[in-house]
Amino acid sequence: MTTLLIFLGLFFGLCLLLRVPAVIAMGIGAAAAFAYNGFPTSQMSQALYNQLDSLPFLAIPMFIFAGAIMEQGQISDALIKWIQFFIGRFRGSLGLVTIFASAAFGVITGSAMATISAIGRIVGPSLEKNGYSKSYIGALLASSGFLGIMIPPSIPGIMFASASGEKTSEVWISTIGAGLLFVVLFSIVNYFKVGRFETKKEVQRLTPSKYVRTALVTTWSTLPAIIMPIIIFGGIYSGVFTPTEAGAVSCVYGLAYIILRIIIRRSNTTAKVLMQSAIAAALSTGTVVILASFANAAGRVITLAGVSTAMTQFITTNIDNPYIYLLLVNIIYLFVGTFLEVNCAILILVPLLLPPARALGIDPIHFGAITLVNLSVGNLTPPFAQGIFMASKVVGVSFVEIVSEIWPFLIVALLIIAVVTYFPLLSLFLVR
Amino acid sequence: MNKNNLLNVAKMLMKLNKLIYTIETYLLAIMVYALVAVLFINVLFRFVFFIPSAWADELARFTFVWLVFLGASAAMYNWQHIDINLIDTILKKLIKGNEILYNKVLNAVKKFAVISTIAYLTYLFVVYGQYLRKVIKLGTQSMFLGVGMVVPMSAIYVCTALMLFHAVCYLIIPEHIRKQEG
Repeated sequence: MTTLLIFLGLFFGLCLLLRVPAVIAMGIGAAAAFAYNGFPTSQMSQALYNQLDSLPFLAIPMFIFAGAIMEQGQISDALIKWIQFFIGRFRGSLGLVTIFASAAFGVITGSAMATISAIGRIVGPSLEKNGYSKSYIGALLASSGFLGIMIPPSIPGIMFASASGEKTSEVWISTIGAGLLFVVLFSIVNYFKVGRFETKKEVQRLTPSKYVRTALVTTWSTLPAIIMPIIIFGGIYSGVFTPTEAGAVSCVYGLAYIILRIIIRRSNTTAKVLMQSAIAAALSTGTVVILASFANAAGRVITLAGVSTAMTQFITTNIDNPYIYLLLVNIIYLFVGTFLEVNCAILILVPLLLPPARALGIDPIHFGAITLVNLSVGNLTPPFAQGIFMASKVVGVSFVEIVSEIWPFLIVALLIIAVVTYFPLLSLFLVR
Repeated sequence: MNKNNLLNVAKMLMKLNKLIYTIETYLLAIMVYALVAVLFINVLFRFVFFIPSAWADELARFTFVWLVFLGASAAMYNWQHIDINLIDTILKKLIKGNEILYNKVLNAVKKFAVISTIAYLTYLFVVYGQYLRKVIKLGTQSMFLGVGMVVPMSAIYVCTALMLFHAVCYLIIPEHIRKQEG
């Protein structure tokens, strides 16, 4: 246990109090734990390399790059227009568009921060023009942004699969139920909240034939975005390609779409822009995936020192009810999720918390759904919520003002965490 | 050395730092496109031409290791690695109203973070170097491409050195020169 205390003490101390980059704090913690136990440093070096010499992680740069390419093709604008056409007549429709577009955009990017930034940039000005307060827009964006993690492909999902040894495709599916529940309940919250802002709109009546024609035209311009998930999931679940290859296929698809746009619509996307998208994807990959490499070194020392085994024994001796253990896990995740980046939290906590869960008979895929939902909601819980910080930057409103509007969303999120935790069927109905 | 000479050295160092960063970003872009091509070819070979292509898997994995560490090195140039600004919030509450003291403490914290990073990267450079020498001695080769395992494994060594260089530049080059030249 001293090994674990040394690692966690150094990691959290350096990372939280002294702003040392998470990857370096992880490395220092692991190196100190290796030195304390007298284990050879070659084990640490080997662990750093071994973690990356694996195919599942390759999906990360592929999906980030695919998202960047589709962004260049202004696919998010098309998606928003499409959703707006179908639900634009309902009360609070612009809020609904934000929620639905965030969920849909998650299919392309798999990242909460990218979703908040992309959707906020497009929808934010329209919401403001329609009388929504800036603080509410920020709260709505921050809450909807993490739907990108729930709806696959999700980068934290790949991280969980790697940390647990489970199949990426199964981990991805496990959060779809929770993601849809979030969409429905957030829409209800939005419906009751927006009465203060939204003025009654003049509804343009369309004849059935004109409605169908307009629907077809709007759908046609959004088709590239609609086809993308069909390619990804159709390919993966029919066994044609792995999630990693699906990432590459969606990149090729995105590039083909951009080239067609250049030819047909004479769009001004240049080779330089595509180059910059590739560089941005590589930089994101470098900062996120390197965490996995150093977390593996930390994991190696924790395993060699027998910490996981000791912790499992300790927990199973003292807690025999899986539900009580899950309650404890929820509290830990929500607390850690407030200040630690999602991927980082997964890589540090899952190797410690999953073995006792397995020993208590909890399905690892169900545990994966609990992990992803909790850590995503952590983006929303003050005082250090990353999602709120991002939304405040995008909308140009203070953190505190957003917090004053986020409570209804947060209450719904906590309710869904309870549902995901105590109704495993929600996560497992498509997997088992 | 007088102040002007020091400024000139800092400017030259920044130019070198930027040159390395530019090369890194070009290599990164090439690697991303190479990865897309290799993985896509892999799918084509398997499902269109029915030819197994284990070499493509291996090539993709090796490129990926380089991509991650080179990406991490490029991210070090602008200090883009994930960190947590909890201390900023705490300090703001503790030192209310005294902007000068707040900035001083925050700068000291940031300097400490950079120095810790440099110290750790130096340690890693030495330790990983020792490990890499053992790998070279063993002469292990990859299964399908037949290249020495030192090729993918040296990514960590080379990129740690690059990260170290970027971090040292970040520490010693004054901010106004970094902004001016960078």
